[in-house]
Amino acid sequence: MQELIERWQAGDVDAFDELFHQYKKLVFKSALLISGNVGDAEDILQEVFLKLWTSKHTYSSRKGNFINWLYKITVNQSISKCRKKKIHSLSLDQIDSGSGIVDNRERIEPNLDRKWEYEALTKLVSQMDEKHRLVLILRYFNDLPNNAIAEILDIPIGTVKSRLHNALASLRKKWDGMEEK
Amino acid sequence: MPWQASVKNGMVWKKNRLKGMKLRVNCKHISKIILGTHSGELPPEQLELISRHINNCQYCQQELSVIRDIEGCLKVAFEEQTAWAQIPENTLENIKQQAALEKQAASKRHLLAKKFSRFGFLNRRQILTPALAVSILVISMLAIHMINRSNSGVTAYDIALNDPQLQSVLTSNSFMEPDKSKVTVINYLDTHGKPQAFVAFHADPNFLVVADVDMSANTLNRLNTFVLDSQMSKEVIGVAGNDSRIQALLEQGAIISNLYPAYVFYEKEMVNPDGEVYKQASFDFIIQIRIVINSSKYMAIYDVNTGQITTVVTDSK
Repeated sequence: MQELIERWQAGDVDAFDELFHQYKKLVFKSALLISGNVGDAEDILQEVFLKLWTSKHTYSSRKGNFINWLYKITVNQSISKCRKKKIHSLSLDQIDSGSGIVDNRERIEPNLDRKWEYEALTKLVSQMDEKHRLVLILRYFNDLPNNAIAEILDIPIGTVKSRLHNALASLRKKWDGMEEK
Repeated sequence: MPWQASVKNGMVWKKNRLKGMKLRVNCKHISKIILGTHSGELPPEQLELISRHINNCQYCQQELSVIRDIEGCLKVAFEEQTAWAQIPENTLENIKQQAALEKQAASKRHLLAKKFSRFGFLNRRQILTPALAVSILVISMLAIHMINRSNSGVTAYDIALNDPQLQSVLTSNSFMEPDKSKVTVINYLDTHGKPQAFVAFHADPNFLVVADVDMSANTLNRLNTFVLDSQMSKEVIGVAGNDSRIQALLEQGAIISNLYPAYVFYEKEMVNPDGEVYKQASFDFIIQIRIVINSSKYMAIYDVNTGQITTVVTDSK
């Protein structure tokens, strides 16, 4: 990985292509969850890698992990796009209607009996404010620990914990009601 | 850490070191820990104390199970939300094209800066200061003269921008005040000879606003907004893909690089009930479809009213 980053920083186009293919899904899907819009996620993907192309000298391993740096750019570009357009996350129904080829990435197989629970959760998360939604996405989609989330969002680790606590507590409150339906 | 935990009779207790008091750690405390922390991030001794409490508390066992269930469902829900989305095949090529354009622009800026740096002698303060003062004076006088001579453009813009309807559209969408230099103002006379104006601007690359301003009453008649969202983009790309002229380009390896909402102003002849012919200014929203093949650029026009491709031309710009 370190060698690939060094090659990319030295201007090796093949190394850039390799980085793109390695991380495009991660960036695209995170952007899709944050922006809630496929078109915006496509734009964000382009903007993030264009930034990578043009600002390769601004990255230094001393600033932290490369992936966290990439997440940081993705989150910032997505937030900036969302704030401009004030778009909230899409529901599963809306996303299903935008057909596409099934992604090859290994994924957790959904339990079809619980589809309505996933949909209800998606809706609840989409109704949350940006700061709580971001923490949930970074934790449960990107599977990042609190310190990495703190680094990416540039907030203290205690704030990450409290946001995560509040977000989960809010989902927990509504969970029983959902199960009773 | 201001407190230390200990176990007595199977319950978790915490001692507040600052106040020297012993507090019972109840299920609420455990719930806070379950909600806010990955179990992997807890020190082993705390983890052990919490595990012991949970083993002895049915309420906490149930809470833990619900929270873990929510966490599991969240993971699946996020995966499901993104599983069907597809990255366009030409993304990497687009990034490289964009980077090349930016490099070209940067190099032009550099050349321009270099060109002007030849006139380094102008940096001498004794020449530059009076020259700058004279330039500012001349520009200011010219600007005042221009404003006094024709302020209709500025006025139409101000009327539009001060209108609460437009302000509400801009603020509700978090748009800033538009860049004045990029606002187009078209003045025209209506059938009664009264001055009117269209004020058009992009509040965002995908959001177009055209205000119809009554210059005689200093009011905004109508506000027309047009948003190019992803659904509309898909429709336009679908229609473009069925157009034989664009199909021919795509078969040669062309790519649709960008969609851009725009407008066309025109004056059309109308007939009033008395049979008199008069001219009326109007506008149509269109979408420019930019197509790139090798180094050639093409532009197709999608008419928003008819939903059809009206023109495909070589974009010489």
